[in-house]
Amino acid sequence: MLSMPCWVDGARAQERTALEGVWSTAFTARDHPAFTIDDHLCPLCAPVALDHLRKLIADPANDRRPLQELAQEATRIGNESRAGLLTDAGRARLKQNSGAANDAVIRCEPPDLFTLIRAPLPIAFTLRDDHVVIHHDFWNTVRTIRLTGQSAQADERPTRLGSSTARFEGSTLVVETRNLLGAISAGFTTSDGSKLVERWTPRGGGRLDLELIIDDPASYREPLVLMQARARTPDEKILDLPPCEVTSGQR
Amino acid sequence: MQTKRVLLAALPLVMLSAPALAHHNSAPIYDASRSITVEGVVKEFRFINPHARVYVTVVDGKGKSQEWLAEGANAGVLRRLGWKGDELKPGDRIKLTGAPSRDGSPKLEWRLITRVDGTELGGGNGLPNERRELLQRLEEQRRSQRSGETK
Repeated sequence: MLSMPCWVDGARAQERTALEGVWSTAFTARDHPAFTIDDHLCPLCAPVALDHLRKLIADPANDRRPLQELAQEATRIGNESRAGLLTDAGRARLKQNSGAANDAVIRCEPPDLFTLIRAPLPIAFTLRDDHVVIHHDFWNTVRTIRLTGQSAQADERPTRLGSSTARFEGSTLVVETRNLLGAISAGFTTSDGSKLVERWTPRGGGRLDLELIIDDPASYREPLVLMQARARTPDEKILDLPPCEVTSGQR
Repeated sequence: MQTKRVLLAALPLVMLSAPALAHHNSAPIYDASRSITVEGVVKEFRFINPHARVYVTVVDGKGKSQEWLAEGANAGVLRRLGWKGDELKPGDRIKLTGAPSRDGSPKLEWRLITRVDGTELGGGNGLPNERRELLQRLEEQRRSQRSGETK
């Protein structure tokens, strides 16, 4: 039997300490010093939009333009970039399903994985020897994911949350999920068989950066990448609220 | 208690909320490009998900009463803003400003709730009122950073 070198154990312990705990977005922890101006203005942002926004803010020529205007310009850049990546099938699916009746969240149905991850509510990480638990405040959803060091296999029946595996790459926790059912939510579409990769990287100053990669050749010609920042909020708790009681818009 | 509808005119609106904040799409239900204001008496306040909601009895100029539904932010989000769920009580007289329903039914997505004494409650979906305050703060932060760079 192979034994783990002690320095590996030490490194793992550090990775766990860095990631464990409750993390909030700029939406619910607006005063946290870990957040930058662009985190507030573009909370779920394509890299091209984030780069554009940072350049706009850094350029003194834009000092007289309101930040809201700069944020709208960056959002437009991000939306155009995403639209440009859509396949014909993805575009058609979005067009057909743009109404409220096709938004699972509005229908009060449990969220798909993408909607769960992008929800701007706190999440909590707990790490164990062979698995990681990610507890999402949104719908009080608990994901227990094996730390296998291997990629998820696309060989199971598709489900809302798919089947996930996790591994560490340095201090970055990488979660890969396959066997996902397709979903539509707020301008995004994914199809059956897509793969989601979450790359969670703790930074200094109590900051956690998420790089979310949607690999869905049926919907997007290239993997779609989105960035989201979170901040450590040790006083925060995952609330045990009923997730959904009434369909939005209905009495 | 006497109540009345004070304004029900559609107004053009400069959007303050960021679409990227929404993790679902209420646009098919509410028209965020318009704004209306109604005044009435709280019948019920429900601190729930996916959106907190308040039912308000509104009486028009002819004395006809109608029940309005207003939807706000997620209860989990409101908790983090310090809301406890007892902010509105039956009998409270309030003014609601927000996006009207697209189908013309008496409901809106509130952006701002104003009490009789003038105090304001935000808590709208996407937190547009809070976002306006945040943007002011970020503008100050930006000026401060720029000032630090040029020194």
